[in-house]
Amino acid sequence: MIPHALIIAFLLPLESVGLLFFARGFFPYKPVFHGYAPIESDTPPAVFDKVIFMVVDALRSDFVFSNESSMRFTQSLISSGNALPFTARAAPPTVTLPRIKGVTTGSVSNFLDAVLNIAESDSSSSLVGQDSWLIEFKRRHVPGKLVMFGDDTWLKLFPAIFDRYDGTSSFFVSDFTEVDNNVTRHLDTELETSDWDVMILHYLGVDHIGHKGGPYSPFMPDKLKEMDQIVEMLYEYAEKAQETDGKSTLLVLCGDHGMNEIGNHGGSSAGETAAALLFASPLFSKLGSGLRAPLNATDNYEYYNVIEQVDIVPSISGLVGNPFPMNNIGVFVPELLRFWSRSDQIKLLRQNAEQMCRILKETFTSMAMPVTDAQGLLAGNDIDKIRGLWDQIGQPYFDETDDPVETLYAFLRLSQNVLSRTSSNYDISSMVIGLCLVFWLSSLAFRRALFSTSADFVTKAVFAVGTTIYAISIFGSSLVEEEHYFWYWSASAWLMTQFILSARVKSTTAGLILISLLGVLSILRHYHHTGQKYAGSYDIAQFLSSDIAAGLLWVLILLEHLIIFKNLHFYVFADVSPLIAFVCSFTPVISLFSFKMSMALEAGEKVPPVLAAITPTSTGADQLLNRAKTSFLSIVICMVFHTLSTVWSTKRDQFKFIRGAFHIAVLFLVVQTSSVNIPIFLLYEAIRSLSWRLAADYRVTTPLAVVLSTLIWQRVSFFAAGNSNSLATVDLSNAYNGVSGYSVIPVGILAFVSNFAGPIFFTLSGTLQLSIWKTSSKSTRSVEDIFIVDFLSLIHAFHAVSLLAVMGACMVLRSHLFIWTVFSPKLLYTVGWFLLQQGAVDTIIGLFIVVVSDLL
Amino acid sequence: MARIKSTPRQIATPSAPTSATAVPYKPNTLFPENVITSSALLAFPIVTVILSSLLPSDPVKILGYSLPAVALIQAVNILFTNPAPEPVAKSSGNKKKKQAKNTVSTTILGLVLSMLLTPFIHLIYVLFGAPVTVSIPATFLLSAHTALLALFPILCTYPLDGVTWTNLVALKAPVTPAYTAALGTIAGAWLGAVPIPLDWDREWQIWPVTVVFGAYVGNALGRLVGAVFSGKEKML
Repeated sequence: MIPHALIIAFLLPLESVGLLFFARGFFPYKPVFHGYAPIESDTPPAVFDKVIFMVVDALRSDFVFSNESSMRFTQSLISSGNALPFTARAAPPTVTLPRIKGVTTGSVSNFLDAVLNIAESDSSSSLVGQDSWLIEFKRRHVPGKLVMFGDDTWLKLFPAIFDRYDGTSSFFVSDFTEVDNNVTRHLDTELETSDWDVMILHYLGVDHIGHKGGPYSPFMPDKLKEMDQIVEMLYEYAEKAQETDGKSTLLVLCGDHGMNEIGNHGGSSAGETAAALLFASPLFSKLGSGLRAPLNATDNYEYYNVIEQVDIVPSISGLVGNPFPMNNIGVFVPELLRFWSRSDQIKLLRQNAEQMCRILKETFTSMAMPVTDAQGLLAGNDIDKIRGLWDQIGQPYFDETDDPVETLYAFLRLSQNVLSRTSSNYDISSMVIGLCLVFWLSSLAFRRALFSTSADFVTKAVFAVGTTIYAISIFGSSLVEEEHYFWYWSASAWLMTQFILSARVKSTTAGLILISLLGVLSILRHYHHTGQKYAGSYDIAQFLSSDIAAGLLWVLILLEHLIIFKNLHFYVFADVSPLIAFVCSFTPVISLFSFKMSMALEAGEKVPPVLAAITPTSTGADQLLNRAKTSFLSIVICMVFHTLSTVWSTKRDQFKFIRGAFHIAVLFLVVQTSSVNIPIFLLYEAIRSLSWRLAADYRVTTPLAVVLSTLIWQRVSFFAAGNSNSLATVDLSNAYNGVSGYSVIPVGILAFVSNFAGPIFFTLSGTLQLSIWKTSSKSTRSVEDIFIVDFLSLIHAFHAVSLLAVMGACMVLRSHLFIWTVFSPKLLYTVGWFLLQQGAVDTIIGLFIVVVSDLL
Repeated sequence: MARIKSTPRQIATPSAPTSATAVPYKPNTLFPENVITSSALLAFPIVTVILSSLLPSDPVKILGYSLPAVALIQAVNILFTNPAPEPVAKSSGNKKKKQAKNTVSTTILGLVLSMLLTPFIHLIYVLFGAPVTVSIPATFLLSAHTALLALFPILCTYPLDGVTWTNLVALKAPVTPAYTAALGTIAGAWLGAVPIPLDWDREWQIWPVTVVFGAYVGNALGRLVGAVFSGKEKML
């Protein structure tokens, strides 16, 4: 037992070191040019003097353009020709920080930005020294004046560039109004003063509503109307400024990214990447666009012309007469060219092309080679084509050729395509060191799991085969996206194997239990349809969150509360007098219920009127904060009581302590679960009690079988709760329970627990099953021995091998099209599973409970 | 596996007192089984090819129309491989042990029983992840095909008693082509579900095309394995 523990203590940190090496090489900061674009002497005249850049977070294209949208004024701007609408395709990861980088510097994002987006305190993401269209205003002869109101990500990216600013933290996703009023309250004075050249507004309300209630939340139409009124106010200002002091103002309305059907973002689905984009000004009417608005809603979210989001950057720079930022790979939007004469158009595009060519030359050494056969090159690969086109553009009489604008666009589009595909420079040696280290350690762990654990041939065979298939499946991008199918499929296979085993020992009870477990599994797999292919198709969660099922949902939630109450009453407060036991177990449950109820009311979910009536109606952020704190406090009190009562108890009962701790932990897990997912705990409880009965039948169950079941149920419950391998499904709505300000550790823990509630549940339930097995089989082994030798070895080996497989996939497929959209998020999730679930929960907390239960 | 388990409970319960003293199973060696089996081995790949090429266009129609043909092929196959009268089914009406007069009646009885058990197979498919609310006719016809492929030969080959069927589930029964073909069908159907979620965008990646294909391929392979290892006392 002790040597086993020491080996885990040796392997785990070393594997983490290997992971660190790998991550350092795999997620490098993308090479960027420092310094600024040269000032062009002969630029086409500026069309606009001032820019209002209004970002509405998660403003998906259909929120503005479809006939279901409530943004009537904005739509009237399009139909009257005063605005040019686009669908701007945002590059994944579709989270705010990389997207702001994209729309200011024009460069493709670095995957690490997605992580930094969450680690809000990080300052390494600042864009100091990098060129952007904002900096270009500051580099004018008379430096421009910049003001910013809204998401404080801008302040992090551009420290000390804004003359006036007011930042709002973006992570209180439960706040819909305050975040936006914080921005709007500055508008009156700013529009009055009007001394700025650039005003940036970043509204977060739409994103927050999306996270809480999805794109069709009842709060959404009103919020969009509010945004519409702000557009109206800004447009009227632009009109007035034009008339009174002749200053032309460009109003840009854009979403930094979209959202998917359940209101999340981060991945690469159609809804997440389709952001709305609108250029508005009275000057546009003379271009005569002749577009109509609104359009009928479409499934692919493509409205009007689809452009790349980075194309905003050269377009703004060109329109205000600034040079194009150094790292820009955006292409000037063709529709906006009509402000200039033909020769100016060519001049502008040529500057765009020259700027892009500097990046090409830096990235591809072959760009510098002299061109001998331009026509031949055009038939070659993309780089050759680019060289051929660039050669044509460089010819002396290029401007007089048939269609110079076409040729320039062909060059720009192809270059953009190639440059956005080019992955960053990996530090291969660091990756190889990490990979070798993890390979060595994981094969050690795998061998130990097979040969040093207790005897059970069937389970070991299933484990070895299953782990191998899993490791291979990671190399397929759609198998990563649809990983939940692997687990549902292996869960049924494992249940079937156990069924055969139970038939061999002629245990009818075990057979019936396994069939029931199969039934629970088939409900679980339809609770959330996750992944990519069938994501958003009708499932139990959607049914439960619909208005007609609100009653049923809350009955199920009440039922789960009742079960928690029963468990606390009988297993935690069993030794005290009935009245005290009742009060002690009722208090945490009722505080949990009232917290969940006010959270649901706050989020605008439908709640049965009967229940809403008995819950105090005074909601609001403070109230919510206090209720969450009350819940946490009552959990702590329960735990303290449970520990003390075990210490003072004369009867030494290891099983009883673990059991009580388990039930208190469930209380905490439910606090961290959104209301629609609380009924899923009923299914978990069903699996737990069925598995306990199975574990009590020592003829069909071995410790290793319990561990393998735990491993499988952990994954099944993770995916059944709606998680996936895409960053889009990270649920932050419970990450701020009881926390009043952003601070990385509590928020990180709460976010982890709310996303990994199922796996944590099954870790503890598995630990308990091991002690049940020990009691029923009258084994001479201690619970600690079973836990360390069997549980930890097997779980650790699986996670180590899967870590190795994911690292291997990222290494081998590093130039794969999906490396940033599929494999990198998978690597992040694997780090979460490996370090937090396996390292912190399974190993440290599990070991702690088992050891403490023995000491008490 | 569970699908077989459900059978004895349904069929054998009425004759429970006698099932305890069931006649021990004797492998049938009267006919040149390998000849017949090899012809069946040929028949099913052909059916598989025809089915799988037609299936994606309209699974329900193709599965429905091919059902009688598959039943016929299976029946003929069973008639020729099981010629000797075996104690197969017991009449539940008069609770009197009655041997089937000839293989024809055994085969007909087996066919009727396997068709009657189709809803249970449907339920098992749902337990293993088949769509619940949509594609019900397709799943039902898939279950009917599975019944014909896996259950029908078993019902005609093995006596209907609890011990035999527990052994069948526990992989302890003597190896026959019928048994291995049934196991092959189950494994094939289970593996057949694998490609459905992949992003290959092929027209055949719809429920239940790949599962039907897997079941047929598994059946043919199982039959082949059974023909080679026939007569072995135990599976595992």
